[in-house]
Amino acid sequence: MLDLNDIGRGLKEKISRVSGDNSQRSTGRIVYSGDGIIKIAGLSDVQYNELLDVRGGYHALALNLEHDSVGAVLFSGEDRVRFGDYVYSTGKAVEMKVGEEMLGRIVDPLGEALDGLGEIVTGKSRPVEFPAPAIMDRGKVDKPLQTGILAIDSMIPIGRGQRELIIGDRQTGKTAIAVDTILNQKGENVICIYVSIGQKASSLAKTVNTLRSGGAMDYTCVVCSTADDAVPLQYIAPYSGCALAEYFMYQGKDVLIVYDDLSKHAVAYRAMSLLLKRPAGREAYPGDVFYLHSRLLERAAKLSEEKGGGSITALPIVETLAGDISAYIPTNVISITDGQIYLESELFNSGVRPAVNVGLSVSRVGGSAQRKAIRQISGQLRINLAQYRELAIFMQFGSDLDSQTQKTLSRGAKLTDTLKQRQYLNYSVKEMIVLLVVSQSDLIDGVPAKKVTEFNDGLLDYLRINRSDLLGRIDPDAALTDELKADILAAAGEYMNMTLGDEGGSADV
Amino acid sequence: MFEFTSESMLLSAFSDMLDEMGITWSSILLHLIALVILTVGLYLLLFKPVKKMIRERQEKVKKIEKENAELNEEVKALKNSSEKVLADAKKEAAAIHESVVKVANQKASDIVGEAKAKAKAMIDRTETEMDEERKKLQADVEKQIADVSLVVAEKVIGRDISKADNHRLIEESLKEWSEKENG
Amino acid sequence: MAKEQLVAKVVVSEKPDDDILRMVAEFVKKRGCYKTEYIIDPDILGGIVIRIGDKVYDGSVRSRLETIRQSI
Repeated sequence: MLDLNDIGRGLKEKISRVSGDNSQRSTGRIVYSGDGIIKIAGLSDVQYNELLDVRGGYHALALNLEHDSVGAVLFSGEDRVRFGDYVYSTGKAVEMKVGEEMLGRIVDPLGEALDGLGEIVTGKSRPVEFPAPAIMDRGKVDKPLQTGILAIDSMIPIGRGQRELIIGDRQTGKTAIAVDTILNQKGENVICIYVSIGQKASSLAKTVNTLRSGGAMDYTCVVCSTADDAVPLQYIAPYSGCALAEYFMYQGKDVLIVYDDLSKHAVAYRAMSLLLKRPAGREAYPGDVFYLHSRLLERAAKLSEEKGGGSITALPIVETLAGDISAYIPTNVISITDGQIYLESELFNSGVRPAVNVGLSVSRVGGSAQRKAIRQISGQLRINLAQYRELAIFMQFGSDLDSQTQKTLSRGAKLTDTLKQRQYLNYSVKEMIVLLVVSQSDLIDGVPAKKVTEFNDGLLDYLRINRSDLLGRIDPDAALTDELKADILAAAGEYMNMTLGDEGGSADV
Repeated sequence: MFEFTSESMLLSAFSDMLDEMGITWSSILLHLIALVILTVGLYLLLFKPVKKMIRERQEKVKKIEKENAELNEEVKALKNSSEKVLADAKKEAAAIHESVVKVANQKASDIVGEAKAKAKAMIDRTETEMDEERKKLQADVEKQIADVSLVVAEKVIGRDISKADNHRLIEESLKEWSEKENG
Repeated sequence: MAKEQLVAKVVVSEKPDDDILRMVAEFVKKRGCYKTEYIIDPDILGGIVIRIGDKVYDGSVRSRLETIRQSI
C-alpha cells in the first residue's frame, strides 16, 4: 500500500528544491511575550502588517511599529516562544493561497486545509490586505443575486456587487439566510465563500454539513477561524476570505462572500488592540474599528466591463444584543453597507420565518437589479403589508370591523403566511412570480387562512409537474402581461378546485 | 192498404188496452207533460251542476296528469344531468388522480435521486478520506526518515567537517552576501 | 544607535584563521562597523553567522539543515 520508492523520490525532490536563500535577513529579539502578543527589539526595517518568522517555525504579524521596538501578534506558538528568541522579517505581507483548487475545501485564514483532504497546492497567493477597487473601476450594480427567499427577493432585492447586512439577535436565523442564499447559487455561476469568524466549531460543522449535503460545496470555499483559534487568525479571516474572493472577481466572475459574523471580528480586534495597549474608545473598541470594517466591505464591488465585470457581493452578519441596533458596531456596519435585513426574535418566535422585519429592512441599490417581472408585481407588497400591520395592531383593541377591513386583515395574514418559508426551501424566480401573483389576487380569499402554506406548496408542485408549459412561458426579465397573469390565476383556480373543493367556497373572510 | 189497416188496428187495439186499464190519452198526455217538466226541472236543478262538477273533476285530473308528466320529464332530465355530473366527476377524479400520481411519482423519483446522490457523495468522500489517510501515513514516514537522516547528518558533519571545508564555506557565504548587496 | 557604536558579532564553529579574520573585517567595515566580536560556538556545526545591528547573515551549516528540515 505504501510506496517506499515514492517516499524516497519525494524526499530527494524536496531536498533538491531547498534553496539557501534566506541566509541574510533582518532580525530582532523578543523582549516581551504574553497573551499572544510579542514585543521585539530591533527589526528596524520591518513594515506595517508584515509577516514575521519566529524561531521555531512560528509566524507573527507586525502591528505596532514603535521607536525601538515592534509589537506583533502571534498566529501560533503562543506558549512556545520565549524571551530572547530571534524574530526574522520576511519582507512579505500576510498572504492567502488562492485558486480554483480552494473550492470545496475548508481552510484556515492562511489557506491551509482543515478538512483532512490533503494539502492544497495552488501555486498562487494574494496579499490578505488589498486596496479596494477605485471609483473609475467600478460599474453599476445591475444583476440580481437571487437569495431564493421570497420576502427578500421581492422586497429587499440584492444585486451582485452589493453589500447587504444581515442583522439581528442571536437565534433569529441570520446564518440560515446566508446559508440558504449560498445553496440557491447552485447553477447560477456564482462562487461562494463562507467566512466564519470566531464561531463555535459545532455550529460551523453543522453549516458545513448543510452545504455539503445541499451540493453547495462544489462552488463554495469555507474560510474558518473558530472560537478557540488565536485572536489574530480571527482578525485576518475576513480579509483572507476577501482576498480569495478578489482573485475570482478580477477574473470576471461573480462571487458571494458571507462574513459570519463581524461583531465577533470586532471583539477579536478589540482584544488584540487592548493587549497591544492601543487607546480604547467607545465600548472599549479602538479608534479605528470603523476603518476595520469599512476597508473590508469597500473591497466588495462590481467591476466595470473594462475590468472584466466581476463582482463581490458581501453579506456581513452582525449580532445585536436585545435588538439594539444603535450599538457601536451595528451602527458602524449599517452605515457602511448598502442596506440591511433586520431579523427580529419576536417575529421569529411567533413563527414568521425568515423573521424579516420588512419595515426596518432596506436595500439601497438592489432595486435597479431586481428582475423586471418581480419588480412589477411586488411594488404594492410593502404598502399592503404595512397597512395590514397597522390594522392588525388596531384590531387588538377588539373593535367591530366592517367587511372591507376584515378583508384587508385576512389578505394581510395570508400574505404574511405566503412570505413564510421553510429553511432550505428555495423558490425559483418563476415560482416567486406565481406566488406573488396568486397571493395578491382575489383568488386567495378562497383559501382557508390556516392552509395558505399548504396551498402554496401544493400549487407549486402542481404547476411544476402538470403545467410546466405555463411556467416556461413566464419570462422574469420582461413585464408580466395581463394574459399571462390571467393564465396563472386560471391554473391556480384549477388547482384550488381540485384540492379545496367545497371547503374553498365557504372560506372565512 | 192492408198494412195501413193493420196499423190502425194495432193502434185501436192499443187504445182499447189503455181503456181497459183506465188510462186515457189525456192522462198520458198529462203524464208526458209532467215527465217533460220533471225532466227539464231535473236537468236544470240536478244534472247541470253534476255535470259541471264532473267537468271540473275531469279538468283537475287532467291537470294532475299533466303535472305528473312534467314531473316525470323533470326527473328524467335530472337523472340525465346527474349521470353527466357523475361522469364528469369521474373524469375529473381521474384527472386529479393522474396529476396526484404524477406529482407523487415525481417526488418519489426526486427523493430517490437525492438519496442516490447523497450516497454517492458519501462514498466519494470516504474514498478521498481513505486516500488522504494513506497520503498522511506516507508523509509521516517521510518525516521520520528526514528527521533521522538530518540527525545523522548533524553528527557526521559536526565531527567530520575539515578546516579547509569550513574555510571554503565561510568564504563562499561572505562572497555571496557581498554580491547580493551590491547587485 | 550611532553607527560607530555598532559591534559586529561573528559566530564560528572553531577558531578562525587569519585569512578569515581579514575577510570578515573587510566585510564588516563595508557595512559601517569597525568593531568585531568573535564567539566560538561548535553548535552551529560549520560556516559563519555575522550579526550587525538588526541584520543577520546566517551561513551556518546548522541553519541550512534547519531550512531543509522545515521544508520537508
